[in-house]
Amino acid sequence: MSIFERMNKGKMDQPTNQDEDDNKPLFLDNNLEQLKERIGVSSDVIIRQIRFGKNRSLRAAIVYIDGLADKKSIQQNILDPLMLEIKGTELEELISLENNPLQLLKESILTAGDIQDIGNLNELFEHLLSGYAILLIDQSAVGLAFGLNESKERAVSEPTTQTVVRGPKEVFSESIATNIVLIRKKIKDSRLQVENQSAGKVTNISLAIIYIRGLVEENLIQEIRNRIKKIDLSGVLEGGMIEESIQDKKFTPFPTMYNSERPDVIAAGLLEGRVAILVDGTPFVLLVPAIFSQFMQSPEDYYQRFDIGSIIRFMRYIGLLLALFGPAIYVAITTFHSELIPYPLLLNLARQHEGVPLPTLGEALLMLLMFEILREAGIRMPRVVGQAVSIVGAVVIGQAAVEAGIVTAAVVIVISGTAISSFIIPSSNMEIAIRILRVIFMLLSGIFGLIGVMIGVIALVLHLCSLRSFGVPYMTPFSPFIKAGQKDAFIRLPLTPTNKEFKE
Amino acid sequence: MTKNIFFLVFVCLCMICTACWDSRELDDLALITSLGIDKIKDQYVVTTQVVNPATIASQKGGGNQSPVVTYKTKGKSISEAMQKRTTLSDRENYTSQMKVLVIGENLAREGLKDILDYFSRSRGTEPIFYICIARGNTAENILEVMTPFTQNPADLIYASIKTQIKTKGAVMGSMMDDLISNLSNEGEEAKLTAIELIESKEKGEVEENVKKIAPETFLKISNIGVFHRDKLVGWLSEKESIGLNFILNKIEKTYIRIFCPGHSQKRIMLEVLHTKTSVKSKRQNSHPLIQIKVQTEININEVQCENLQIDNPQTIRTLNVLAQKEITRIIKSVIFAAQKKYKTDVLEFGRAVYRDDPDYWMENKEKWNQQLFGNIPSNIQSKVNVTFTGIINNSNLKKIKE
Repeated sequence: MSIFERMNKGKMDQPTNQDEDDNKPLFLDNNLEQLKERIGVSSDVIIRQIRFGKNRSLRAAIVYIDGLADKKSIQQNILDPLMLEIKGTELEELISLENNPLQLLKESILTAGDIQDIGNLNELFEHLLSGYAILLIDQSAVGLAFGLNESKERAVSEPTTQTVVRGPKEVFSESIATNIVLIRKKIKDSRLQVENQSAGKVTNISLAIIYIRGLVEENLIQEIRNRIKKIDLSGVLEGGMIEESIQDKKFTPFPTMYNSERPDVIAAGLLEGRVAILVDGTPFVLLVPAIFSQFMQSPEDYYQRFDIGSIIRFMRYIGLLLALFGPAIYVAITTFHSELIPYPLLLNLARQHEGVPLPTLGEALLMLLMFEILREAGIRMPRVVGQAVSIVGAVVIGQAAVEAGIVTAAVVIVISGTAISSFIIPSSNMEIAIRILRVIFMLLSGIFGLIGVMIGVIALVLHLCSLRSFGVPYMTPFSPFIKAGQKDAFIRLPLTPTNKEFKE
Repeated sequence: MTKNIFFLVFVCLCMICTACWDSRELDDLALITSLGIDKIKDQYVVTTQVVNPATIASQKGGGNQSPVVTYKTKGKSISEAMQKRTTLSDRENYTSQMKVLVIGENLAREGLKDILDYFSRSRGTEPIFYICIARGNTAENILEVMTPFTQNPADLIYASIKTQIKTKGAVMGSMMDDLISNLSNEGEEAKLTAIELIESKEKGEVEENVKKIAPETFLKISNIGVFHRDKLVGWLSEKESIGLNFILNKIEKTYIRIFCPGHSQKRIMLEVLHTKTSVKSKRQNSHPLIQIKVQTEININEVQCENLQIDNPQTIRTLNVLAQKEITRIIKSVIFAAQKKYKTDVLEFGRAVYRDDPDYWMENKEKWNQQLFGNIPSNIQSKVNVTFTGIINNSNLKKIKE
């Protein structure tokens, strides 16, 4: 619905410039009325009406949202020039309805940097709600929007989810503008493209698709654009919601989109030819397409020397296997294949199990459940009660549980070892996938022994190999096997001069 | 969708159709570490030794309980006797971790055929435990001895056999699968280690035995018993046992004793390392000639002679020759024992013929044991290298003042 009616429609003949009478309907008043109708009772929308120009003949209104737009800037860039600085100059004489004042204002008077034309009410609201100040002039078909946002945002802070010993200590913040700047600072190249989008019918959150032109297939970007356009949610608040809406539709616990709060990780991804999706209001930036090995990498792998990086990354894969199969293999071996246990250990395990009421699978599941509860509690609870949880946690999963005869010490060790191993996985959403699969594997092993685990592994490998992230096989470079990709898969070989050619 | 359902069905079938699976908690199992089998008249007497994990593994000590519990059951078959054991305790038999099978000498002389089937057929038993023959005794008595260091006799026997293989070479580390292949392969005969009870058994049975500084009862694990088919026919002496291991290339380390050059009282002990033996058969006058080549390295371990100039290369050459002669003598002794005394091809000469001269073997394998083996000539070449004289060269004895 276009609200700003064209000047020459019907009401052209009405005298307006000398009109001091409020009773007579004016274009501006019409517009303001409609505006107020849409706004409703919101008291934070400020409408300031002014008069300026030749003989103060021009009526105008400035609309902004208190707190989103910067009052001081509005005064300096809009009010002062219009009402004070212009007074008595020859410019003032030029400003009148006949002289197309809008052009003049934009070109010569208003000092704001970011001025955009708005042609209808939807556009107006889009800008208004993003923190723009809006200037509406009587009898003008076009309004002006001034980018004078007041940024109330967190300072760039230190990483909390992806920490490194060595490497940049800055993370994205909630402001998309800051985040784009952080990426621009890493990649000073004109080929870095920033496309703006928005999502969410009600939240209308701004998104930015960032990629390096020439490194990314045009199809991929088009696909991402399409998928974002198709998002049919009224509320989008975080990147996770975008992720859920646009990722490949396949039921899987594995993440098929990578996210990071670290500008260096995102910049590295962009340089590899991936596409970043920034969402306003969250420090987590999405990166597509994502492959499995990406979730096992830490930025520090590249900041440390390659041998150290390789060893640590290899260790991470061992941790992954332990986290996934540790309890399952323990359960399978102790209850199905005890001949595989070395004899002295078998004696110890048998002794420990004397008098424990639960079967081994039950013990392991109980301990795992306790651990998961403890962990979840640790994340959600108020910081002040943090200590209580760790004290109680040590009792629940520890010597006391063993001495009480509820579980065997071996199970406590296995579950604790598994827990530590799973923390070595650098990406939290991959870790969650592993946690879920761990339980499935435990059940398989408790019912079918190692045969069950083996069948589970086969199914898991099939599943992983069938996954795709925006058209890229998830298990690249292992399957399909890419020899060159092995340099940065299980291990990291020394950095080599980039041979990826830009396609301009 | 059909594909998915098909896949699910496939997965389920995989899980159901696999042969044997059964979950058992560890504390429901009677961990049998050793079995002893004797035969009295037509009944098997099975001595089952079950570990009591609470006493073995606990740091706090298991009180006054015995670390192992020995059950003795009788039956017409091994499995029957084994099953009877479960009536005596609350736990089911678990033989996968079995370490030692002791067979009474009487049963061994009567033949092992009947008991082997049980061990190769039973799915719960891994054929990787040592088998020994209770020399001049019953298996039951052997397993009732309390042993020092290791509380469980099975552990002791198992570890002791391993140590012996590594240090002395007078035992045969035959496991169940070796025994079965010895019995079923052409041109081989079985050989098993002997286990002997030293001193009075009565004192060994009680825990007091291990509380003394000099225990009165020991289990001696040494020497090899040779079989013909599945029947024990006799025992090799220690020297012959070492010789047998030389021929079978199973010496990891052993000691030989030679006289000092030009002496007939003073001796030199040599440590034999890195031995490699090859046994080949060669046709000579239409009959096979067995060629045994032994190559080994030797360390001087102990020297009793005062005047031996060990730092003189000539002496080393002399020692080489003496050691070669000694090794040849040892090997000859076992060839004699096998060919003339026991008339059984434990030396696996038949195997060498089968390998190198299959035509001859196919023609004569029926006659091998009865007629041929006893008269097969052999030719022994040993090559010895004294590589290390110990930490000192010449003996210090000379410097010791009268």
